[in-house]
Amino acid sequence: MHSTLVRAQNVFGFFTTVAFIVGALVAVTGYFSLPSDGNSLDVSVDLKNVQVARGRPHYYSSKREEYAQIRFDLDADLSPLFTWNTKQVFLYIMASYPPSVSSASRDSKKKGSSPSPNPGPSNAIIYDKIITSRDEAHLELRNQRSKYQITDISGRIANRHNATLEVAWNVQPWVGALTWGTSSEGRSKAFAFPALKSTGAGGGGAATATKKKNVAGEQTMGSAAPAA
Amino acid sequence: MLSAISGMQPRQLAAQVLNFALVLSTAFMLWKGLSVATDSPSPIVVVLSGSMEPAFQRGDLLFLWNRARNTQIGEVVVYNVRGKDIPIVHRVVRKFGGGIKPLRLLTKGDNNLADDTELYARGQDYLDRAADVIGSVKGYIPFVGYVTILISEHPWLKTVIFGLMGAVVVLQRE
Repeated sequence: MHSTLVRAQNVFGFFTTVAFIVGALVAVTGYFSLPSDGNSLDVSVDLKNVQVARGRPHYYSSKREEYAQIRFDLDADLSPLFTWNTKQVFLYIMASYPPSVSSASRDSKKKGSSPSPNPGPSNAIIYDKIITSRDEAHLELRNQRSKYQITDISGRIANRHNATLEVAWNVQPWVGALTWGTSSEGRSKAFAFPALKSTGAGGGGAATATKKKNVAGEQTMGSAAPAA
Repeated sequence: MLSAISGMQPRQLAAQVLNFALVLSTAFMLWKGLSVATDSPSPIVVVLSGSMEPAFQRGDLLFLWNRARNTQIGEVVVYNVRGKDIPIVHRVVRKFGGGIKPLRLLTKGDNNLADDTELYARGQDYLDRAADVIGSVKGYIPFVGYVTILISEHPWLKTVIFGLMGAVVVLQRE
């Protein structure tokens, strides 16, 4: 039986088998040619400046929250992450700080000993960059302003201590497994979020108002962007 | 075609129908088995939007894993908005809590300017890891899920494809 249908079926079956095997080979070889240890990469980040100001999550919100604006230096050479199976590298810098101490200790007293009672550090991405080729993989940013102004879930971020900035990346393959990495070098010294800016007793009204507006304006910028 | 069916012996016809049922139930069991293994109601999803471009395009196939409950920042998670049944694939950009406290996440599409606060249910500012997230993306195959987008946009294709599959399975004699 060599009808057209059977021939078409065989050709299609052969095509899918070959495509599957080639894809699997690419995925496996790409995975093993990535650097196994992030510490072998040349990455460093340093805090330059951090300020905390009041603002609104978006222009029409009545909520007042504290937003941190961070400036940093970044040196990174992520070119070893570009294997023949790398579609993009998503580089991100996150601020990491302890969760509010008071609520954590209250909860652990209440519930006794559960497996890991302490919440992990709170994290927020302050800057990210999509890198799609080896040529763009060398970054040298000086006094760079953070892309995102961050706040805590409580809305309060001023006067927090023991915060750090940390560089991390996600390698997106053409086909296969996604991988994440960090480097022990890519971590800043500990810093503290300062007290709220320009909260002079009574006198600082105008300055506070303009700052609020700025923060709200930037937060609103992309809020109508299509999603999903 | 009809003459081909009527020309069969009843026993052979029954065998072919059973064969077809076996193919369907095997696929169903594989799906459910994968669902149990990954602890996710939907272990494989198809990307429906361009909000994560250039990492994920429409029609790409994503493999999820839902057993790691301490989701980290930078991971790409799939979540359902409360009250809506549309899975959304976005990256975690803020993370609070964990341990005995509920893990709260804020997500954002790489290709979107703003975070997802506007997408969440009314009055919801953060995702609840346990309640809203159905998995974290671990594996990726480009484009092969595009047929499901075609089917959902052109429903008659579903009838055609199922008809063809049925006809091939029933009519092939081996």
